[in-house]
Amino acid sequence: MAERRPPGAANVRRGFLQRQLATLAIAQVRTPNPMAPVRAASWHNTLVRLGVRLPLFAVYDLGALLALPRQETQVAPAGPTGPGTLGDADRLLVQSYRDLIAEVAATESVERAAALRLRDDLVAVVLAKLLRDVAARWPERLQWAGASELPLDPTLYTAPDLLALWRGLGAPQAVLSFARHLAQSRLQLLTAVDQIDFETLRLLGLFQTQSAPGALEIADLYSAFVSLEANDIVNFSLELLPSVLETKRATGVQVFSVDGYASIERHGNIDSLILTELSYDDDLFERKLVDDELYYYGHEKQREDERRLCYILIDASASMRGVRQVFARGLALTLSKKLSLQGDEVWLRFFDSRLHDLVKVQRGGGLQVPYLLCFKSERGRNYARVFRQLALELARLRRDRRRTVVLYILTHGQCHIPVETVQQLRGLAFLYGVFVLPSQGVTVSYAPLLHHAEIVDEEALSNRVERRRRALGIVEGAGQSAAAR
Amino acid sequence: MPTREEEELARQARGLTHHGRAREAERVWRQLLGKHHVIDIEYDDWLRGAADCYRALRRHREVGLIYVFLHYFDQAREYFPPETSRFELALSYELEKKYARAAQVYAEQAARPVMAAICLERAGDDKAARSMWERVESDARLAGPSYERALVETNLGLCAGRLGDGEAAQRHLVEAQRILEEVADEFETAGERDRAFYCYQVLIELGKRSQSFENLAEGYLNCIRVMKEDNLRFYVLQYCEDFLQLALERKEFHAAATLAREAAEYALRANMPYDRHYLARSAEIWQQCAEKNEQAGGPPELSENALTAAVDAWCAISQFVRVGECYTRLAQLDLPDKKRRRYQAASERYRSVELRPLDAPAFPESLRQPHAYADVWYLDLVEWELDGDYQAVCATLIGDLHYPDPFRRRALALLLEPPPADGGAETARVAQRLGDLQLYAALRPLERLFERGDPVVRAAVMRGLGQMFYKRSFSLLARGLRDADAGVREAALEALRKLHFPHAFDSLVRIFRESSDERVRAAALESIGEVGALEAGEFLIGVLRHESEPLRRLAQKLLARFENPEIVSILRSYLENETGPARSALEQALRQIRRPEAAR
Repeated sequence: MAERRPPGAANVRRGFLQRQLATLAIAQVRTPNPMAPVRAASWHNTLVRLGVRLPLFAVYDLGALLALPRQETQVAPAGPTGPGTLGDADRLLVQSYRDLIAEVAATESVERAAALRLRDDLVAVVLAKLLRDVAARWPERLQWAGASELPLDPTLYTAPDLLALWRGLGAPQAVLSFARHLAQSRLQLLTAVDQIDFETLRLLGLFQTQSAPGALEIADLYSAFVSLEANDIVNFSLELLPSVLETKRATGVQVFSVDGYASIERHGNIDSLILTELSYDDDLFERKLVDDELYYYGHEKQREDERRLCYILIDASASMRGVRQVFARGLALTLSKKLSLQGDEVWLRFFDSRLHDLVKVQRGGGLQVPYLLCFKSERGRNYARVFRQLALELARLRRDRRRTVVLYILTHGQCHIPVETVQQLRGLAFLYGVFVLPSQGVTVSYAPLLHHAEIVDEEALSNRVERRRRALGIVEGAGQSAAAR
Repeated sequence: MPTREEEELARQARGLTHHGRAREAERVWRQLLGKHHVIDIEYDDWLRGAADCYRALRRHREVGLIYVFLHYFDQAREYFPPETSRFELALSYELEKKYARAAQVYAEQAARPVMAAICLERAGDDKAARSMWERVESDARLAGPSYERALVETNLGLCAGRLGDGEAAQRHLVEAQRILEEVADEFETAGERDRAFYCYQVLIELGKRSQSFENLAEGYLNCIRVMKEDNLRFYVLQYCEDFLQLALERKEFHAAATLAREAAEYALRANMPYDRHYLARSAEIWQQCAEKNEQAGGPPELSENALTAAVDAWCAISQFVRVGECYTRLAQLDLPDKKRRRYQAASERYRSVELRPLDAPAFPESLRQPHAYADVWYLDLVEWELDGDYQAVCATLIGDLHYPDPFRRRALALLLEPPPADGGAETARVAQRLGDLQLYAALRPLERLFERGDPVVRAAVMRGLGQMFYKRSFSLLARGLRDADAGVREAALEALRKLHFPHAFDSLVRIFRESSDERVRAAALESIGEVGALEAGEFLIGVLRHESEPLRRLAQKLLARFENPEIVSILRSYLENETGPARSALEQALRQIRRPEAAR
């Protein structure tokens, strides 16, 4: 094993840690939180993985402002003093950097972020969004070579002698040059801070999954924050989601005289009548009977062993580029939440010329939202192949697991699937097609074979109320179709 | 200017013809016509002299071909023997834009229904063209779903559409679209992205003609993707520009703005100076998007998203006055008070900022490639119809002024040679001459000669292929590298060493990975080293790290003379994580790059 590591690699890593710790000497945010430097190291590591390599002091200052509660942070004068530390010009430079950090700390965005108590991965991607462009234009960035991940052992960060480390720093000018560059990029940084996308953060909260994000998820998360299309999808989903969050799991109640009592119902057999209803005088009782106002006991319904499977297919081909994609993905997010809250099993899948990775929505609606927001097709379309493969898969599901499947296809007006394949799918699943903004109307020959089809036209998309109404109409309709099935 | 020797030869040839020694004169004329560098006036004069000579020899077809080259169509037709030169006859009508007559000769005498249908369309006779396309469709070779079948369906659909038969048009175009999707996918899976590209080009045309934005987006974005992968930088931006324009015409602002942003990122990555222009363009389109939404009474949140996207783009190019303007507009939207106050406060920050001039050069018109789009739904069917008949292919080239004169001259010189009498040395000479043409159109004839030729012909095809700088060349080359005959394999290896051009990278990598022959792998690696793109450099580093000798040493040598200086930082980053022999090889490569002269 020792051979696998280059000679002196441990020394190199330790050297880099010392170098990074030394930069904290010019950090301007004070916090009593002893874990703050370790968290900064964790944010730094995620930034390195995202290709943003920076001196730790900037990651620490901005990250602390975003991640720690307001009352735990304070921007206060700091910097190494004494012989061999900073000259007058450098001191002025550090002061202008401090002014910038103070200005950032005073923004509403930072206040909101601090109140959210963001997870470390989220703090890191927000930092990447804030600093990516600034870092790319840092003229001395090549002098900050050798950046690698930092160890996360808290003991390494306990009470370091920053002054000594700063004095031992080989090239302090490279570090100071970044502070200068940040101060010179004041407007750029402040604009980026104003642009922090809280809607995406909110949406991620609504679909939170239990697993910690891996490297791929971090990349998706970052893409979700920098992608403008993702931003639109997020906004659209947030418009729809409040209406479906109240969805309750379909109750397991029936009115036949078997099994235990489960509820009180407005209708039922006379042997299930609640006894107190008999206390009314005859006239009143008869009137209540005629008006269906009597109460009966409901009995427990035996639930099917297998939950219904709602399979949502989202067209990811280049044909969906623009508003079609925004509507389809926003709708898919809402639909998946609604159906899973309703108690159905929900699978999501992108398609173009392939059926891409299957995403199984967790019970309660947990979902890898960044993947859904940022998935980008790298192929053309081949609907014949995709739906042929799907038909085989559904046939297997039906044969092996006797699943009842409702298939939602979110696509565009030029999605031409061979009629015979749709015919085959019709025998395997309830087919629900949603055609978004067809530029020539929907001319697909298989349309009559779909159990239900919705066409979302330009009028529906250009009017907020109408767009929301249509989307929620589809969500409700889909829920009912699934239930009916 | 002709040399004194050439002038002497011309004088000699004229004299020989004059004295009734046309057979000897003909050899001299052919020698002269093989010289492609002389100016038009001189060359045309030689051509006329050669025509006199062929007339004296009663070789009328050759006279006609020379007149086609000179665009003397009437005279050409006087000489084409109607029983043996029907195709050339039809061609002369077509070149003269007498399309109806050309179609008639193509269809009735030359058995070329595809070319007849195209001429009928150009003559405006869609009804007859449709019947002709139906005749093509019934060809047994087009029975299954194939690329050519899709092209015929495309032409039928477009023709039916022009005739007002909407139902048939829809049926044919949907069929075309379905087949194109399938074959493009098959091509991409087989690594033949260049052929998939043509499928996407047809989708673009379908999108344009049928006003279907979905097909337009599908076609353009996939073409752009393929060209990005092939590092065809200027074509990428040209297609981006064209798609932007079409999307804006159709008010698809969202799609346009995101593409402008992607173009900016691509320009930056490809070291082109247009990134700032595309960022500004993206910002402007987002602003337009907001404006359109407001005018249409759309949801203010849509305008808000568009304007914040514009802020993002303006900020990226430090245009803070514009950022301030966007915030001012955001503050005026019908949004909740809290948001409006926030936007108002943000706009104040930029009030005192001075307007900075935007140094953002646009993609210049002069870099647009004139042949970025081809009528592949015609051209590839013509290729299918001619099926590699080299004489017919060359005949289509000589009168076509789209081709520069030197190429037309080479094609004519080949046509004036007597056709090969055997399947050996003479056919091999034709293969070699086809390679000299260097035109894409010569690839299919080379493929056919390879399929049907002796080893000596196949080897000549491989030699000719060394001058054909097209991705399609590699599928033929791969067959040559696997040929049963050692001479063919050797010629293929030689060709492989010559075929290095920017978009050859993928094909070269494929050969490197799939071959088990060390010599082939080394030759492919050498060509990869000559490509010069950064990805080629990274590939060499990969070989250095994971392969054994002698490939490792070769990769090291190629890295030492790699021209892109950015390779140094990539090498350094690999060095940090490498151990063992690979590390020392990387260190050595790095040292050699720093001392390039020593490495050479």
